[in-house]
Amino acid sequence: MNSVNSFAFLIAFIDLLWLFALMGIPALMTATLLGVYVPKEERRIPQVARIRRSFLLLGAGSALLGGILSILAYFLSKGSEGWTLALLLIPQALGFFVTWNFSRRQALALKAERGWKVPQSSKRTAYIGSDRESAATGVSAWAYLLHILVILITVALVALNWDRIPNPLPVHFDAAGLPDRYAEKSIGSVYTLTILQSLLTALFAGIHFSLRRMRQSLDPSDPQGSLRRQIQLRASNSWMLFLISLIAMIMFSWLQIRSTYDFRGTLPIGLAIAFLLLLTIPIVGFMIYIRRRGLEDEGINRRHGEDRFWRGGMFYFNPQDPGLFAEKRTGFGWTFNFARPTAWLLMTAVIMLPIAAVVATTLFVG
Amino acid sequence: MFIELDLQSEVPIYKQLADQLIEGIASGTLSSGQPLPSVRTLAADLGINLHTVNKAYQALKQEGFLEIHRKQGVIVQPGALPTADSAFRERLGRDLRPLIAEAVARGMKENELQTLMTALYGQVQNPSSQGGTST
Repeated sequence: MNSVNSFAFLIAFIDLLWLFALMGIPALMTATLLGVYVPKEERRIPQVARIRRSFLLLGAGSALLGGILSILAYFLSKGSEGWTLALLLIPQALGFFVTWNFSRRQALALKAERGWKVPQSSKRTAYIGSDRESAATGVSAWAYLLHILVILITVALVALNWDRIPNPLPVHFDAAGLPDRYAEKSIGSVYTLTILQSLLTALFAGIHFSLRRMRQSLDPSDPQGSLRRQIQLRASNSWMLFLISLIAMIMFSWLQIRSTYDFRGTLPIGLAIAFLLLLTIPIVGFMIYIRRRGLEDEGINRRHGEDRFWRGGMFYFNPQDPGLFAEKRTGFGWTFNFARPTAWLLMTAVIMLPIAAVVATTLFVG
Repeated sequence: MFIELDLQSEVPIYKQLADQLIEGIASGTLSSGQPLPSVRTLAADLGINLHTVNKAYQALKQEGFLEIHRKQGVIVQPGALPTADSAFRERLGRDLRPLIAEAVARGMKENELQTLMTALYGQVQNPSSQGGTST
């Protein structure tokens, strides 16, 4: 696979994932229409389907536009990766923004016309038994020591073969696996990937501990059943996160070792892509498990599902809610409560992580 | 044990919570020395203000049904529970009086009232969810 082909393949692959996340997932949700809550009995009416269809069509249009612009950019800039990506993702993002707003306005108009309301329950229930701590099953925190072990082994292996690492060493590879940038050999430049790996481990461990402490959100109409389902949901979720982080660990270690130890020739990018595909296994497994056990609606936000708390249909903003995290309105998972300043802090930190990684590599590597 | 609240009830939330905790202790569902969730945790789980939970916990602590420690947190009274002393009996009489008055005014017989009392007593001691039988 030469440089141009693998670049095109990589870009297409990433773009499809990006489009699926932006357009596909909102389109698949039945409980909300472009971030507007739809009552159960209204979900199958033709107007809802029509708005969803027009959203997908407009989205597809902007996706196509991005594709055309990026191909033009590739040829006009004589193969510049940066320009190609920019003219692919930016028009698509802008297109999504416009499409979302347009379709959402239609959805809100339909809501007003049909008088949609979020079902409110004035009941609350919580489990206070003495075994509530042990009821938080799933992966034990100690399991994350495995990640540290992987990192330590990698550090040791690289250290043992220090003398066989070329100087200058390759620190950046193009889409075909050929090195295109070199740096002076130093601890920082050799162990760049390990540093990133450690930061990533810290992030995943942090997520694990936060999820442990997440509040209950039981269904008052079925406390027992709801408790059982939530335990299953959280346990399976913690397993999925553990497996994803472990695969990522191993991938990083493999990259680290492969790109420093007695490096010759090219980096097999195909294997890197195989690792990425491997990551989808725990995710898909988790989704199948949820569907099998009927857990899809268990983790939803029961208390603050009204549209007024969800800015743009996406961002939860509720000053009355002291919690930092809130359950999502559809599917499973948590989102930030952006009325809490800490949420902005954490969000910034998470966004800054890749940026910090890039800065760190440039600083260490020159 | 599950706490179940009705936010629209006439009964204040802290009282619903305190009442249910006492019932838990009465039935043995909450055992002696059993740890309870912290104020923050229970408030978050129920989606109510933590001052409400705190009020319920403090009220029960004052009566002697709960102990609140700095490190261990909130636990059900590990030692002897408060007794039905004269102060309690006086309060109970005061609280029951208006209820009985209305029952009398509505023509309820004394033995009917006693049957109801016995039934409630039995239910509290042996809640059906535990598989206990009560007449």
